[in-house]
Amino acid sequence: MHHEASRHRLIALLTEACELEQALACSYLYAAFSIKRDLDDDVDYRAQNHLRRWQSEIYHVAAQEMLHLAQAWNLLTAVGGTPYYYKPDYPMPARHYPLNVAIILRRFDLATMDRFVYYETPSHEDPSAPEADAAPHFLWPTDETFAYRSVGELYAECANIVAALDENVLFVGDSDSQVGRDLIDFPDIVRVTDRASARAAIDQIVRQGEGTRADHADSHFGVFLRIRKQLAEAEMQCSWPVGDNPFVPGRRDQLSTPTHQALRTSALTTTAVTDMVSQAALDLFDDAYVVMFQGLHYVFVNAAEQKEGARRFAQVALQYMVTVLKPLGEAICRMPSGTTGINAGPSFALTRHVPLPAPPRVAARVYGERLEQLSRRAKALAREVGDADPVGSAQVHSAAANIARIESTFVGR
Amino acid sequence: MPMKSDSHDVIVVGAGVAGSLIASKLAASGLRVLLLEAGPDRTDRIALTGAYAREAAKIPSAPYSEPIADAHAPSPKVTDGAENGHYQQVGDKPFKSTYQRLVGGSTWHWLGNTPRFLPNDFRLKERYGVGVDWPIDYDELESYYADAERELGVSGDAAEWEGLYGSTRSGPFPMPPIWRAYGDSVIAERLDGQTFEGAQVRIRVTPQARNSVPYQGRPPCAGNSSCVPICPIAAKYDATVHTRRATGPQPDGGVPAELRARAVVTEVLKDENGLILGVVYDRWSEDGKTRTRGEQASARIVVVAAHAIESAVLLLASGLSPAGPVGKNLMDHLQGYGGAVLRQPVFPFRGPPVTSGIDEFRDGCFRSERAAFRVSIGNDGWGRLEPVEETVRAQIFVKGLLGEDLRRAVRDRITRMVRLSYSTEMLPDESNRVELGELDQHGVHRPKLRFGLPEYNVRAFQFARNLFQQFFTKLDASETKFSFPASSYSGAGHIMGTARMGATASSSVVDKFCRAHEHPNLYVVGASAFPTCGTANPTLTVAALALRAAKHIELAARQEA
Repeated sequence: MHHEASRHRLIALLTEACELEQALACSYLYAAFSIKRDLDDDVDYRAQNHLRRWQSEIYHVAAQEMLHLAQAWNLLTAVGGTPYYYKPDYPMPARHYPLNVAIILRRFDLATMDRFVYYETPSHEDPSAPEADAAPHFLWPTDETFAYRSVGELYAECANIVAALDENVLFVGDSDSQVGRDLIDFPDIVRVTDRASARAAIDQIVRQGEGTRADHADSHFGVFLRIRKQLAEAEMQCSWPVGDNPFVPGRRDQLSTPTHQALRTSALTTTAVTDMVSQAALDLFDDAYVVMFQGLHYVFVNAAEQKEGARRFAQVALQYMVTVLKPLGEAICRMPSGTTGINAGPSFALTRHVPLPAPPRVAARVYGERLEQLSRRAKALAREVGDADPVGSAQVHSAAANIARIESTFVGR
Repeated sequence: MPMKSDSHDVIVVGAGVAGSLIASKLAASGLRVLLLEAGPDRTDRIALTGAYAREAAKIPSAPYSEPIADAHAPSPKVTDGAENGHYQQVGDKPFKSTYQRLVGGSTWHWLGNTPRFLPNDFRLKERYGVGVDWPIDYDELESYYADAERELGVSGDAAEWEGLYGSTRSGPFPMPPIWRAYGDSVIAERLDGQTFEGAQVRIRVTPQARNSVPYQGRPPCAGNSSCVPICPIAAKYDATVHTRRATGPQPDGGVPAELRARAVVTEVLKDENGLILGVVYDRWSEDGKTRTRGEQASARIVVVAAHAIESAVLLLASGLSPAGPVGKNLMDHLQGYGGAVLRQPVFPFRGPPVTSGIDEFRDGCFRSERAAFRVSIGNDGWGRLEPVEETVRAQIFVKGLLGEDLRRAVRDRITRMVRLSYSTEMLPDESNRVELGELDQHGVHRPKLRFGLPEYNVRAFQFARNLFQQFFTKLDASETKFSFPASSYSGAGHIMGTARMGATASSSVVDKFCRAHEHPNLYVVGASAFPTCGTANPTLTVAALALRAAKHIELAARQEA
């Protein structure tokens, strides 16, 4: 199959990379959310120290994956594409991407760490897939993608195309449209304006993800190898019994429902969340997740024209990531799914890819209304959760207070 | 007394940052190194964190203080009285800074901030007619600063620091900057780019030896915010990184250093010509029940890296460098605070205690009259000005609040508290000094300290307080509080100057490579070698000088061999 070096193919591959970065980030976050972190949760002090450290390391990897997504958006903008945040819902069967292993939402344990190590293993290492349900040497049907073995290989192909095409022809994006640290608090983000900066951006993504042949200790691969080794040595019970790939049955506004027929032939499972309060929490989480992306997307699409206004949206997006999604996600992992012995977990389901309108006054009005809606729902959820689980309840209350504060600040109250 | 056969190429006394760095470099070069540390080797970080959690007094020594180590290798504590602590304080004013004796030294509990000295810090006499000049300048040290930043692992934004008061950087920081605390951005919105006292201020993220990304197998900062006194996850650098590097597997040609903890060096031995022969030390057992005195080890070169006060005591007790100002010119950064309650929340305690600062008052002609200072923006409520437990107590016992009312009031107040601190330089003054104090139960001298508060610093305190009031007015603070009285000060833990470097044996103890003028095979490293102290936290400069000295030591050892 001939793989052409073309702008179209580069944009397609970068878009595929956007999906992958997001898919992996959420998988990492799900595992991190599921980690037990309080002494009241039947962990002793020593175990708590290990668990909190592992949790913080996985959060950091997930945060870097979000940076990689943002970096891919800068790359797209530079070469004539547009920022993109679609991804399929979980689980993504192994045949969905050439990685040849499913991308799923699963609790933190050794099997999950095996999977994470595999996701980040450089192609020059000898990967052993935890499971695969695709035949080897699988041929991909389009002339856009190819059978990459690692995320690094995917980006390497992007770098090859950047190197092959005429720089003056390829980089058509307005440099003012590039998002830097003046707009968003990602310390490492590279503004892409030419071949050298594109290469620098790609090299940073690969280095952070896989490391180099000589040194991978500080890459995601190295971090996950270390955690897996330490977890294997520690032999501890460390996570809530959250179900795999949770979903709220009957949510018609989700992009796709799990393909049960396809999954029947695989070992993948899903978890239907039927508890009413947990459903409300999952819905709130998913909608908050979309709001976060809408704000982030607005920044990247409107950076050139509306820097001042864009900064407000960037602040909302980052604050939602850290002060809403994190406590809410952790709280949901403590909630019942409706099936005895299995907890719920956030599903990271996306509603339709609906960007905010460009005119700043309109965008602010629409966004502010949505923030206010979520604030009301969050307060209602906080009233409903009760006190059976004081820690989880406190997290929901905290998320609700933060949603209210963010909304109030955004609309200028 | 004839030396026993415990013989090495180099003996390093003190396994803090300077000693451990030097030991690691010399071990990698193939020299046989003995690293002696008076304190214990504490390897269980989780246990130390737990000890800190259990301590009522949250002070720098909280995780590390335990009766056996305190009896055999005592460290001063901030809660010590004038007579009942490790120091004997005989000066007009108390010397307030402390240090910790254990493998890794005071870097266990340091804040982790690593700004560089400014070029004029090395030229105080030439530029402003006060203090003394260093025998080296910033440009000579710059490449070692870069090396030190790589060795320790420093996060920062080079663009923010390039050109500050004429300083240059040969490259980027090893890691991107630590995300600044939320409160810093609230303050930056009002103060950044504004002019105060003729200076246009900028809020810069402070370079720090704290991982912003995974670095050399250590995790990034997770915002535990207990940096002082301990990082639970080793995201903040401490010198055990280099102690383990010194004693662990070496590259080709290297020889692992030997670490002997619980070894209190009591004397550096010399012959009649001043040539150093080795050291004498006591070795105490882990259970504290036995202490073997008078152990000896010999070496071709001895490096004293025992922190500025203990190094001075050792040199004095050994009768070394008699012509030089050993123990004299004791300096610290004298600090004060201003706290404010803002009208909007700043949400402190998420992240390190300090992530940003203001550097516009670190240099200028005023240094001929008053001290320069660095401003830190705290991310810890009111910090030392009013620890959070006092804030809570005030709500309970003064306002009579309990239950949900108490919770709400504490949340409302603490989330809006911010503090600024000024850290003023001292000029070298021989009247501030370390002398030999009385002997302890083991026959080892306690440090006797003479210390006074210079007017040079008091004038800086007054200026800084006035400046802070202007900041708080601009921030529309609803309430402010300052260190009281105006002349009060805290120690920064930056102990410097007691074996300073210089050109002559009469005015200094060591040369520009930290080699003793009067003893060609003796080196004294660490902040004791600083002739002046500038306004930067000293550890990065300590590390840079140590790396520079290590090269000289290696060369000297090979030449001698």
